Amino acid sequence: MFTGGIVMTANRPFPDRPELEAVKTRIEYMQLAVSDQELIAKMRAIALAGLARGHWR
Amino acid sequence: MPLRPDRSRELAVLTRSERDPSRRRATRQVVPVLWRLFTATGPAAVPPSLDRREGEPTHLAGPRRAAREALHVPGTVRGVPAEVLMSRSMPGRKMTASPIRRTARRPTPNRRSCRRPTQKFLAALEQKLQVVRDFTGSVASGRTSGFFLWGKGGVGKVAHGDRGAGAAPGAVQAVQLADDRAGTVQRAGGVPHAVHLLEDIEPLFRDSGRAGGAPQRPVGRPPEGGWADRAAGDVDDVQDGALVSCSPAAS
Repeated sequence: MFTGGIVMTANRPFPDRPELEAVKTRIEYMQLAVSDQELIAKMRAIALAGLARGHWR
Repeated sequence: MPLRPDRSRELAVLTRSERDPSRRRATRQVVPVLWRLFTATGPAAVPPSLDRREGEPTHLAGPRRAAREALHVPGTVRGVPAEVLMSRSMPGRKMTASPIRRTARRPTPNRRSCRRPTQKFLAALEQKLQVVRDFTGSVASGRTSGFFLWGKGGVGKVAHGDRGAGAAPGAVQAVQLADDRAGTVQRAGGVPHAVHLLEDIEPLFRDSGRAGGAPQRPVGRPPEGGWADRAAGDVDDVQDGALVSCSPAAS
C-alpha cells in the first residue's frame, strides 16, 4: 500500500483523457505561469546580487 | 575706368531706391553699412591691436567689431554675431535668446547598467512560487497525496517544489523521467512510504508501461556546491530509491 506522496512536474498539462480527469480531482493541479516582466525582474535581482559559487562570493 | 557689370547693377539698384521716397531712409542706412563692411575686409583696415578695447578679446577687436556694431539690431542679444542673428531671425522679429541652443545633457553611462528590478513583479513572482512551495510542502507533510505542476521550462518549478518538499520531514525521492534508464519502476515498491518528485512526466502520457527512470536523490537537501549544481547535471549524490509511477499511466 502506497502511503507516500507524489509531486509531479511537467511542461504540458494533462491530456484530455477520462482517467487523467479523475486524477485531477484527487490531487492538486496547478499551472505555474510566469510573465516576461517577472522573469526579467528576477534575472535583474539575481544579477545585482553578484556571482556566488559555494563559499566564493 | 569702367565699372564692372555687377557693380554697375548694384549702383543702379541704389539709384532707383533713392528715387523712391519711401525707400530713401532705408537706403541711407544700408549704404554706409555696406561701405564699412567693404572697407573693413580690405588689407588696409585698422590693425586689431590699435582698435582693441579694454578687456576685449583680440579676435573681437578691429574692423570686425566695427562691422558687427554697424549691423547690430537694437533689442537683439549682445555677444552674438549680428550676421547670425540676421540670418536666422525673421525680418522685423527681435530675438531674445541665443539662436545657438544647448543640447540636452546626456546621462552619464552607468557601468552597472542593470536597472533595479521592479518590486511589483518580483513580489508577484514570489507569491506564485510561495504557492508552489506550500502545495509541495503539503504533499511532503502528508496532508495531500499528490501535486501536479506544469508550466514553461526554466521558471523554477522543480527548484521551488524541491525546497517546499524539503521543508517537511520524511524521505523524499526525486526522479526525472526524461532519462530512459530501465528498472526504476520495478524498484518502485521498495519505498512506498516516501514522497517522490517526478520531473518531466510527459513520457508517462505516451507510454503507460514506461519502465524508465533516472538517478534519484533525496529531495529538499541541496547537493554539494549548492542548488546550481543540480542544473549542471551534478549527480554525485545519487542514491538508490524508488519510483512510484503515476497511476493514470498504468491504467
